[in-house]
Amino acid sequence: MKKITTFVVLAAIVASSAFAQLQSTKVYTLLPEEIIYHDENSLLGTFSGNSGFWLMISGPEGGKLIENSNIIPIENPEYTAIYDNMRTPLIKNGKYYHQVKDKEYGPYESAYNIFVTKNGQFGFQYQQNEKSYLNINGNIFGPYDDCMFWDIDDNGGFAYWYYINKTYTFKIGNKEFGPFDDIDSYSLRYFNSNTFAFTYMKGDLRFCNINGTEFGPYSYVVIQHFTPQGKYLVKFKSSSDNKEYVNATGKVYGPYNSVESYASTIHENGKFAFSYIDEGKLYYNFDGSIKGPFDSYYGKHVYLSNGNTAYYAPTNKQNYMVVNNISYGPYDEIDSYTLNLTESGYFAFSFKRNKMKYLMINGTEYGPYNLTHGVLTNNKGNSMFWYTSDDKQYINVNGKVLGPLESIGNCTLNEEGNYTADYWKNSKAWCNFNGTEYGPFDEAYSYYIGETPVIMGLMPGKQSYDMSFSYDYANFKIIFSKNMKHKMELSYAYDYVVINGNKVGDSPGFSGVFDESSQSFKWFSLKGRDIIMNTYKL
Amino acid sequence: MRFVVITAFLVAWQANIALPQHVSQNNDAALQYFLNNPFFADFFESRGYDACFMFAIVAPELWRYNAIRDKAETLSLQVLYVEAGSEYGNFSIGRFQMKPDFAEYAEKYVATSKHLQQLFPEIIAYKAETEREIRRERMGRLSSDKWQCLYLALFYEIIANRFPEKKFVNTAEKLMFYASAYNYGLDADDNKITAWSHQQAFPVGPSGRKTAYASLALEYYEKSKLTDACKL
Repeated sequence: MKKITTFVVLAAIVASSAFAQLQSTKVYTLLPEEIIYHDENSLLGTFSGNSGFWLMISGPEGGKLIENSNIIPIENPEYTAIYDNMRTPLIKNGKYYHQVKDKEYGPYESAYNIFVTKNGQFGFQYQQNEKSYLNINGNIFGPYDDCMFWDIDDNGGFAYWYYINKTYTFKIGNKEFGPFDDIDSYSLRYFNSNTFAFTYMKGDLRFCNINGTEFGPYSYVVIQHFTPQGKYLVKFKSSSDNKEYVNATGKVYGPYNSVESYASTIHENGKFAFSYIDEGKLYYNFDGSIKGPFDSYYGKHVYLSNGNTAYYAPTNKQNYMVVNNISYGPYDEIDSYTLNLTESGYFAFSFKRNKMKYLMINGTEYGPYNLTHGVLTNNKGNSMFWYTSDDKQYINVNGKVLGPLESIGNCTLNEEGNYTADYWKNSKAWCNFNGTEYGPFDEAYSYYIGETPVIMGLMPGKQSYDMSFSYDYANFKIIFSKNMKHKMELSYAYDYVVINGNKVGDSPGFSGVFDESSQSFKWFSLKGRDIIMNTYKL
Repeated sequence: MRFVVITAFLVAWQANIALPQHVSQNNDAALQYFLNNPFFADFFESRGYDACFMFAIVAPELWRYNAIRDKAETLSLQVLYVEAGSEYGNFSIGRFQMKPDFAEYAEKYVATSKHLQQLFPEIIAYKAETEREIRRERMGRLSSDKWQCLYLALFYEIIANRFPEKKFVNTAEKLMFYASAYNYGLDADDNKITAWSHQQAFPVGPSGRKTAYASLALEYYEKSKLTDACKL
């Protein structure tokens, strides 16, 4: 008798502690003909921040934005966008509004292009009486015939251009540049009021302005790279000799017959590299140091990462890759686009020799293989590549081989050395996170929502899972905590959600997330027409 | 009739010439998928259908399925459909991107036709008894390739049944009509389906470019006919 009593007490404690972890709150009751707004493939609504959420409702009377305890009427959920601290545009009675940090601005004829920084600096543009205006932190700029708000920084500095009296002017904070006859409206780069760049025209001549200094005139100019530190690489064509030049943060190189448009790079520390063609030969310029001549070649083939360099060096119809001044080759072919070069100097690329494929990873050769499909490296020297050998596919992670596999889907490797791989084995789909396999599924693929690992796909009924139904298949979604120690499984086939193997609640869940800050899973469910928000604290 | 023949030829010619390269490559991938997965050919041929024709009807959906699957959040919509009913039935799932309300319409149509009940006895034979459980079972069906093939075969029969007098000058014209009906809606009338075959409304790339669904299906079909599996 005593044993039974003890058991009952223990069971009650376990049950109450399980319930204590689940909090369910009704957030809205759908009116007749109202539905939770969605498009053809997605439900638009989510949890945001530590405890907030939003959902949009559509119904015969119009739309509603349900945000925590607020119900905000909107005309058309389809055109309403919700970001961290702004709601844009809200449309009520045909008029447009912006909502920023709980304050609503409007009504306007139209409103768009809103930016809000993390510390709450904001700006947006709108139209009234067919004129364009900007509201930047509550200050109104305009009217203009046209304008484009470009950016705002944490200090309240901002950039935009406006069009008035048939001329264009850039406005960078309190400084104005112009008027100009024409501008490349998408050339504007802006980091702060001292670090910006743009290009424009006076008559038929082109100019660029870098950090407040005008360069030109040119017959052609393009800002190829511009860093937050104000370092830049500008390619231009002189109007006097019709030759091409490169201006690398104040140092001008040229003249050249042509500078490759897509084969240049600059590092935040100001080191740069670009390639050019002269008299039919390919050359590289690394910080003023010339490499070449090489056989001409088109494509991305010069790499710079921190102090590390790599470039493709075809010579006398033989193929070489030079990494940190060490030449690798000759090879029959080099897949130069596969080159990985990390900040710490680790590298990888694939090549072909005697009709077989190989990989060169940090100076070590791997192969021969029938095919190579991809290679990844990181700053710690970890590597991952996948390949075909004798009609089977394999994944090599840091020298450890996974396979044989029937086929391989997506593979990822991050800076911490964590990897994911989706593949087919024994005619079933599997997802592998750092060596731990999840499956078998009929179909599955893994991805990340932010830092949250997710598996989504199709699982066969009656296998592996406690399925309270007898159908052939069911779509499922598994949401993990960042450290992958906890997981929540969602499926329409459940009458509950499954958290760490335990059934929780009494309805299937949707829009589930893992909230790292509160170490809890969150999801919605429906009870009749009530929308329920559920939080399960671990 | 002469006009119809010329129109069909022109559309076929446009399908071959006018589609951008990446769209054509999507059809290559769909064809490769069809050839690598003999289940589809086996399924349709075992039931007396031209498997290459049937797969062409849905081929453009395969690309869409692959393109959106990482971004889509259909699981939430599936839950809402099961829990709340057909007002949430207008979303697409599975390899052929079928909608629950498409399946509901097809099932209701079978219930009115003894001929179709004999052809597809499994369609209306639900194990579940309540409406909610039937919706859940329907979700399970639409998650499976086998059931999607069955609903596609049923779609073919419903169109044939709805338009018994409809004559086609060639297989290309017939495919354009069936593909348009699949994309536009099973319950649409003849004029709307025919008009839709030329409507450039199906998105084919990140740039927002659109083309006619039927022209994609036809381009796929003509490519498939060059393979051993689909040669006449």
